[in-house]
Amino acid sequence: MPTAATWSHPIGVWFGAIGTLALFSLIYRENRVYRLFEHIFIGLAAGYLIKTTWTEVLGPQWFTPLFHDGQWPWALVAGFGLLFYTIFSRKHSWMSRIAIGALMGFAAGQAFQTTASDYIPQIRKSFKPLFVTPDQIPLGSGLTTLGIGLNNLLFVFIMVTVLTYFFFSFEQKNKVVAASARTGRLMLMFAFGAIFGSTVMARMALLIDRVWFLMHNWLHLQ
Amino acid sequence: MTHASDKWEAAFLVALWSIIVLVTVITAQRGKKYLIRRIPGLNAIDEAVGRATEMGRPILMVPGLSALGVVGLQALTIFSYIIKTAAKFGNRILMPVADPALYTVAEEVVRESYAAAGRPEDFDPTSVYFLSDRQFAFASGVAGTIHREKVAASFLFGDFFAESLIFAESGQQVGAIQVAGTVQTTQLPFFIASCDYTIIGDEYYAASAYISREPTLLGSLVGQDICKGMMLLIVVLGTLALSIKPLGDKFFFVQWFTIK
Repeated sequence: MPTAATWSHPIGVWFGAIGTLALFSLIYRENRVYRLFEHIFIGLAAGYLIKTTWTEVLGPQWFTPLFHDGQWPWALVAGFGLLFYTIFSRKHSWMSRIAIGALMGFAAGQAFQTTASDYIPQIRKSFKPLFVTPDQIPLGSGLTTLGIGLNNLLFVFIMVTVLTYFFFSFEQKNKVVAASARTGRLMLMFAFGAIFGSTVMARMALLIDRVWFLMHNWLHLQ
Repeated sequence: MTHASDKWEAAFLVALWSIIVLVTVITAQRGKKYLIRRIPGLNAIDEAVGRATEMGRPILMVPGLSALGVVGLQALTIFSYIIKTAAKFGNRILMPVADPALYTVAEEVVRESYAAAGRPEDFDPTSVYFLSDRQFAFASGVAGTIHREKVAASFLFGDFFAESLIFAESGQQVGAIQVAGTVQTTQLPFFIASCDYTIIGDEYYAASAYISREPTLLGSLVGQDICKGMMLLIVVLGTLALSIKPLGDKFFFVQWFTIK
């Protein structure tokens, strides 16, 4: 298991620095160095996938219960999982559909559960009083009844207009509906603008981290 | 996690909404005509395929990091339509996949789409390939593919995260026409900024009904709209109930939706 100490070894730092610069070279143009490191990256990821599949999934969740704890029904799961590999045989590929169908069934079943666990509580959380009394203000929050009331009104307004935009089964020609949908779209764009700004800041942090690695760990510039 | 069985009100709503969708699906299958409003981003799919035909360069379809679930399968449904259109014109397609389970389904979908278009012999098994399940290894592979193949059209549908802008920016650099759609709210701004057309939020789920016009899917969409209308009404009534002092949060209607 490579530790942070292993990767702080000069060979690890040099490999990391050259890899970083090679992948950044795509900004200029696609080139052979990028291609080489792209394939090394994908190859390393494939090796990592095989390792983590064993150490995090197959080992603790299948091999240990089956061979160490004697829970023999896990042997059936292996047969089921192996059905996926029949897709590579033209003659037996129909068998893979059994496994795929079962997985899709699980996904569909989970969708019902998500509706109950996620969406219905969201409906309740969308109930917000438009007229707020002083006893409804959180202690020490410094908020006012008018402020919370306006905030709640804005929330309901945006929710109604955005939801109107996402109705598909009729043409939005009615003036009120069309105006509501247009406003909803505008509100979405405001929100996307805010998300864009904050996410770009997060990406800049990633870039700064890489530049810091190159300057501090590799070039030893203080 | 709350289960429907933990509170009968939640179970009742899930059952009611399911029945509404089932009824509209059945009525659509029995011939009732349902309408679907125009979604501009989806009209652009044919334009993008046409452009790839003119340029004689491949079409790229990326389902992002989607696993085998609702989002991933919806992406494959949209790709199936694109492949059928592309097959008519003999366009080459490329589909890198990041999830091993989705990869098996994707290969089946591509093969069947070529068969449905009457061109089963054009199916190239190497056009659908598993790259990596590691986010940035996958991103570097897709970016490299976009640059090397100089794709003419890029369709990004599915679950995308921090790698979204790497794909969209690479597509921009090679001059590809790009159509993207995701339900990941944090990635939509990047697609809006860098793609030619973007499918936002719930439009993503309406896409398959819109492009196929299949009665079952249209019926389902109408059913979902009715459910959305009900939710809207419930929220307005709940807000009014909380706003009227004598009713408040002890009012039975508000209590009904309060899941502890």
